[in-house]
Amino acid sequence: MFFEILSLTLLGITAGIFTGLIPGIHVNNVCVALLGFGSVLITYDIPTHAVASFIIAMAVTHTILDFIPSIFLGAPEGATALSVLPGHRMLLQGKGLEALYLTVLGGVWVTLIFVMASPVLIWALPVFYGAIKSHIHLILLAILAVMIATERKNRRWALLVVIFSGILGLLLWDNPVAPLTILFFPIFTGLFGIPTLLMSLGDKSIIPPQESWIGVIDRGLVVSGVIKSFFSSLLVGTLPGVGASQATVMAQEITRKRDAREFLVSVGGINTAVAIFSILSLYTIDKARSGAAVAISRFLESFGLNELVLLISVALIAISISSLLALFIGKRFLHLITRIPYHRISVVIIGMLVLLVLLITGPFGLLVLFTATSLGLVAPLTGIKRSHLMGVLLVPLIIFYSGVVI
Amino acid sequence: MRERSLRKVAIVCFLAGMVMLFLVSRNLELESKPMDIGDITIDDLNRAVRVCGRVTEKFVSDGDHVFLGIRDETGGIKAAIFNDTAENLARYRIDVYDVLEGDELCVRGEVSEWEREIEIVANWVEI
Repeated sequence: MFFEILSLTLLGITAGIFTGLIPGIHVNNVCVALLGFGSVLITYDIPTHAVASFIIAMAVTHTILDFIPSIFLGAPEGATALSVLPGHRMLLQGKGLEALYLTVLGGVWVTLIFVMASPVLIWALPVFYGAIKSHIHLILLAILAVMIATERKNRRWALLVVIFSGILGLLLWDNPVAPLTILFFPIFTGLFGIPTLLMSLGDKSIIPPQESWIGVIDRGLVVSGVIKSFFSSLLVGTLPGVGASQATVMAQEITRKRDAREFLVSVGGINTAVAIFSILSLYTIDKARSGAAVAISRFLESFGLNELVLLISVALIAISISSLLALFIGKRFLHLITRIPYHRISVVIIGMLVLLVLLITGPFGLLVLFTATSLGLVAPLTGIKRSHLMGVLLVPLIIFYSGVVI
Repeated sequence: MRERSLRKVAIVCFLAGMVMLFLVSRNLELESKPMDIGDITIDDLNRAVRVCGRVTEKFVSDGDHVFLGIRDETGGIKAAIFNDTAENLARYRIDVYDVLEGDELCVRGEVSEWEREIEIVANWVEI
């Protein structure tokens, strides 16, 4: 059993590298596809625990490698969307590798903290969930209000962006054409990815030579970022519909500190914490809060302490290997992108993203992409924070959990 | 925090993960060993068990629930596979409706009591 689980874990890490490096692919979409792949594995007598290990190894690896296309190519998916601007800014300062390193640091440390805190969380999660589950709409409304109120430059534009992105989210929430999870790709690519690339085209940005070393990162910055991501992830792990994107917004708004480097540690931590917290949610409150958890719950006929310890150990192995691989691959990536003129890379990436949207989501997805891109350009052009665009998720969730029927 | 510190942390994570994985996989192996049917008693009520044996009888109810009699060298027991479980198993190409008397299989489930007889309410079947 040990070698079967280990083999499938390493295979999962390999799969996670590919899914993480491909721009715009969300781990939830991959996990849905894995349901079919996993059932094939089971017919070949692969133990279900080994299949579950594959899923969690792939999910954890994906969350680490995901930042490479997000930072270096400006091509995020939902969970990494808000990392695009600070990561990209650091790339244009020649510190792209450091930006990646900060996200990796967040992922590794939050995993360790989660593992050490798991005995307490097993007791606390059900209590926490019971206390807040009927107030989620109020929590999200408060976050939106704080986001708009703290906008220094153009509050009216911020409010308009929240309203229009919320309308976009509501229109797509229950549309008859394509599932919302599939449409996340054109939504977030349009709101965050393509506007970043288009704006840099206009600047005639050149990726400067990148530093191939990473300097000393202030320990306080790492601690602060990891703590924020840990507590923000509590909401993600316990509440339905609240994903890494919303947790990132909370991490950014709750403390109001504007250090881009701390933010990158935070968002890196949240991305990985979502994958791991969802395992704990499955064990404590029997709720699947991520695509990986949904897939695992389908394969494992029961989820007890043995299964929890198994998946935590697989997550530890995956985070250790993927963190080192991310830096290795990131350094190779740097050499590639600095040799090609950035505006050419941007044009190629935009073309590739449009093609991917068309292939994955069809003409309807292209329409969504175009609409989202138009809205996404408003934020940088008016000088407001891009996080207001997360109204595309927050507004529908507030309405859904308040029980209002539209 | 330097890059070499991250490498050390990663190595510690890897080693901790490998040790935990080794220990838990031994537990899982022990759990997956089939129990002798003759050893299952009323004291094992609600316990998760795995038994292997030969199908001695089969009955499919009007509601498409499958009831199998399973016997090994130590004794016999009934296994109830409800229609939702059968539907779930079909997703993994495990068709319990095709099981015949004489087939060898393993059943995982919870020990239950029905009309004063102990049986297994199955959640997984290996054919």
